[in-house]
Amino acid sequence: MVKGVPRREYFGFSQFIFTTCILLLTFVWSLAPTLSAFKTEDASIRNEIITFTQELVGLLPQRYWIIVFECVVLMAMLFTYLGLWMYNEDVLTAPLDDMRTITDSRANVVKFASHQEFLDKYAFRESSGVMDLPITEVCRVLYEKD
Amino acid sequence: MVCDFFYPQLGGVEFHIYHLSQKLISLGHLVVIITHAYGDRTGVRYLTNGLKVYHIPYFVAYRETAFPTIFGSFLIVRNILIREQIQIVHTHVSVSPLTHETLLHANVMGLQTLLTDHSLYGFDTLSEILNNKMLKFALTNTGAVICVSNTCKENMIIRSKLNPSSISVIPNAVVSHDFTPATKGSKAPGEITIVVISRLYPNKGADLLTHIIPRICEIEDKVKFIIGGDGPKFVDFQQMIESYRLQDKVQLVGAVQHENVRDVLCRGDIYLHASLTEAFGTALVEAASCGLLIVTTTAGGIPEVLPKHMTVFAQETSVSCLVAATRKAIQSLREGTVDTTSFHEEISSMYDWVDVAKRTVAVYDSLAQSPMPRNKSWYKMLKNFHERNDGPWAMPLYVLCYLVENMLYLFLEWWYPRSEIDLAPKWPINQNHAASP
Repeated sequence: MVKGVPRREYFGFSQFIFTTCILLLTFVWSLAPTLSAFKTEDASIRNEIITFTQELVGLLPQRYWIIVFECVVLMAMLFTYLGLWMYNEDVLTAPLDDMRTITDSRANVVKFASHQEFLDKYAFRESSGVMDLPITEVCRVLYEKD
Repeated sequence: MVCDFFYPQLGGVEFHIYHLSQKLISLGHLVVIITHAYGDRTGVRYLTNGLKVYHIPYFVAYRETAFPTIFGSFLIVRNILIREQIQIVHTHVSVSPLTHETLLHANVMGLQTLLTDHSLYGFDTLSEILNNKMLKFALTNTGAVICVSNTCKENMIIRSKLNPSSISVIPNAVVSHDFTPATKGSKAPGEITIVVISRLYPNKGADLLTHIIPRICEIEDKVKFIIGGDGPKFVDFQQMIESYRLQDKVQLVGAVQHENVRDVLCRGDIYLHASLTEAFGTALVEAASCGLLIVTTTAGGIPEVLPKHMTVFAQETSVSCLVAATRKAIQSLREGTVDTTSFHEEISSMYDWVDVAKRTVAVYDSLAQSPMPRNKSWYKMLKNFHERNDGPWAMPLYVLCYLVENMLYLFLEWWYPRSEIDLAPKWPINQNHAASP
């Protein structure tokens, strides 16, 4: 690699040109009218050029695929949203009677002897490491009415 | 507080969120953290001091970030924001999709928003360009931005084209009583131990380190290395030890839990930091707090962080400069020209989470005083997106996404009205048990 040559800039610029060309080509290709409509009745050089261009265009996939591709992408987006939503709701969300709603393997639950000690030491005092409060005591603090 | 990154993952950002939240609670605010589920840690967890953490079950795409869809998280985030009666949404880290999405949702819901950024990013790869576009989109209507250092702020201004006056700088802090210096006396005279603790990624200078360490071992005798941390470059370090036969000089300890970091740090005299980019460098402050002399590059925001007498800077980020700087540090330690015993006191007077929390609250207050209905009307925000003028493709996309988001919001208001969402009971503020400052 030659020093001082900003290779990434060249690469990025070529990427930019490439994608812009692809986009323009797609537009032109999908919007251009059917070429055979321009053919004249009698044989001429113009007909020959059109036939040659048709041969070239024939090398590309059919134009039908542009619409198919766009529809597929749109539908894929829709199904991704729905699928993701359902996956999050139904697979990843733990059911209410699951152990994971209470504690987990990475929990670092505080230890104490009595409710009063819990109140004094942990409920209103921070710890410098991350420590969990047990859900039973949390419920007592939040919902206990005296 | 919203971020993709939180406990059980360990790192600077995670602890920043945790400590800031704890201090905000002791200042009398109610704080809820939203992050995604990590493995079986899913649902709601309460941490000490009544800090509530929502681990949203969400599909994780890449390196512990949520799968990026612009609207996918709206339903659950909206429910949580209403349940907890949130007024200010404070998001962290500019590369987390959950952050971007929540900023958008909260803005549409008419809440005050701000973002804290913790790192520096480039502009020239495809992923960085995409991410910067996402950031511009998310920040268009965000009330304020906090950066952890001035370098980070400059980086943020370039990346997001924001008005600099809406960006404030609030540094990180350390819990200084967790990073006390060791009691000296057990070491052999003249022997110097150099500690490196970092995730072994290329951007943390792992490649540089694999070249620096053999050279220093060759030049200086009685020097030992302790390397903590894990990452993709771990194998390179093992190979380095093998090929230079440094088994008795270099010790690899692997990943270090945060509570053990202090013990590892205290075994050394010099902390070597070869990072290529760094917005703040909490590790440096922690090491200095343990009374280590710091050898570092001048990348990013590092020169702002520590006073000059605690550090030896390498002039350039290169192997030879770092080796020279390390030798200078070893020299000055042997001659006793630096006194590291006072570092701890100085650090604890400079960096304190309570101070950070107070400054953050000042930003909240300035947000609360801004004219709400005018800034958060949907028409005004649409106009902001339109005036953003960020290229011919991005602007219509922004406007389109914003309009869809608004329609979704109206739909959700009808389909799952606010009145049907239960309000969560608030953790009591107990005056008798209020934490001492």
